Amino acid sequence: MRRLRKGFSRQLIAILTISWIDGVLSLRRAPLWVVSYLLMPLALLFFFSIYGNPIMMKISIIGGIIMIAMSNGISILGDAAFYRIYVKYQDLLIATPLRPISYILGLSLSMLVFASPGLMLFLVLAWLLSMMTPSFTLILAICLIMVWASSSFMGFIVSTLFNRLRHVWPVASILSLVLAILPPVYYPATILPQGYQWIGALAPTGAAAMILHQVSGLIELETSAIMTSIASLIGYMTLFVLLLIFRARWREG
Amino acid sequence: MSAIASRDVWKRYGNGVVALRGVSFSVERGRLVALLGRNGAGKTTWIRIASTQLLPTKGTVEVLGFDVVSDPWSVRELIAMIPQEGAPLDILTPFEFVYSYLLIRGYGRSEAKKRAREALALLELEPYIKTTIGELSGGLKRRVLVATVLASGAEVLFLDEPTLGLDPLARRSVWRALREAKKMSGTMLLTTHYMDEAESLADEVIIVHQGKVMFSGSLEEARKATNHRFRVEVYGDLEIDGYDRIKLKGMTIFYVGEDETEDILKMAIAKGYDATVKTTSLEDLFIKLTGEKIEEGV
Repeated sequence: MRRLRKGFSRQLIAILTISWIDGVLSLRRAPLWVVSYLLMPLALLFFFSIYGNPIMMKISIIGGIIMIAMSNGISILGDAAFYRIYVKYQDLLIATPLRPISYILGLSLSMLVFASPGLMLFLVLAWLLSMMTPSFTLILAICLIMVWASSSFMGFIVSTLFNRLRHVWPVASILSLVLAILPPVYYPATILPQGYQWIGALAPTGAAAMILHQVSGLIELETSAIMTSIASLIGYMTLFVLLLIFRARWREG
Repeated sequence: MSAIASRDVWKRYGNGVVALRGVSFSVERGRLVALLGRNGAGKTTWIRIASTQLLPTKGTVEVLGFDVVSDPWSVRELIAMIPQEGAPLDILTPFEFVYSYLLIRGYGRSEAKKRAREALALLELEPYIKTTIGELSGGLKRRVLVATVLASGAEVLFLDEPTLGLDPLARRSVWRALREAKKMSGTMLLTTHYMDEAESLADEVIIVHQGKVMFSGSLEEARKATNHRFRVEVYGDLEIDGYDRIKLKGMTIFYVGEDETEDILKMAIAKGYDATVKTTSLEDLFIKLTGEKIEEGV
């Protein structure tokens, strides 16, 4: 006689199981990925610590945290496409009671697991530079969760647009670089023309960075830029959740 | 109540291709049924509809009385499926793969561990239980998938081309696994384009050609439907008065009794053609129904 969990507890265990196999076990057996995603933020930190001032060094630490959360979130794109197109793991799971949203949350959580060693390193650096005040820590946690969730949900949605794996890999790299370098993640939004700082908040990474730069006292932003940043983070999160609800269907038409 | 009931199922894809044209058949509980056909016959489309991955354009499929379109979540509780060209995750061990699948299905940890170990033992995968799947051969990887769906305890198993792309030895190892699986599982439906696979494993065959069911019945009924014991293949265009023939690419086929084989062989040799004699098999029913050899589509 089969004894199976039902309802919420079944879905919760499924989410944790997917994050265990796709996050914990993958991280343990392929730790080089951590080095690969850390290379860019560490290189930028190195560059700014030599050629920049103390403010730029702190900005590059905040930038590193956001870049790690975002690039790992986006890399769900590769995993989701690999599981769907190449090994057909998604097809195997469709014929089970697993809900599609649980599958996506499991994969998203595994991306956070992957990001955790890099995040820890940069959080320690932030602590060594006395940046981790209570208010900064709280806002940082909120921003991190929103950047991770937005980028992983976005990555999953983008992955559903592709049917060939070889087209997927470069997209993840392009999105990561565009979202980390173009918006004011590694530079202060105050260098944007006056009255137009809000443009920096049009990407979720830029919005999170601008809020964190402001909270840590590194820069003084215009009120419109702060408001746009908050609205942008909430807006992207809501948009991607809605898109997921719309797109996250097991069955094809 | 049938385990699987397919009624007038049609599927037209967005690009206009009609993959299924009114597929109807039923499968009784406890049977292993092979859905047989060439590539592109519509087998995978049908199995994807039945396993709740694809919507039909028209018609219904019921699994243990639940409609796959209107009640997919009830169906998903009862089925497990191996997708075509599916593979277990390279980075995990066979045990981790089966165990995690069972946790996802809702089993408790101790029950999942027990079932995973039993299924892996049944499929003779115990020596590889701690080896990462990436280091296993193609046949062993397929056996891991069979162990996975078998451990699920699902009442209906769908297996889409479980031995596609495997060498003969690996195919036979998967067959052994499926025979073991058959002892434990309720109902199994597998798609294949290998005649020997269907003959070796199935209780019943459903021959699908160009989206239509051409034959549905037991292997015994399939053999009877061929009428004759022998097939003479003549490698050239040979016509003999009084004998029905089937013309294929570069070949003429005659279905005859034992006494008549010698006559046809003599006439073929007299004309300078090579010829062989084979006992009739499921493949001959396929040739009779479709006018094509199944391998030509592979």
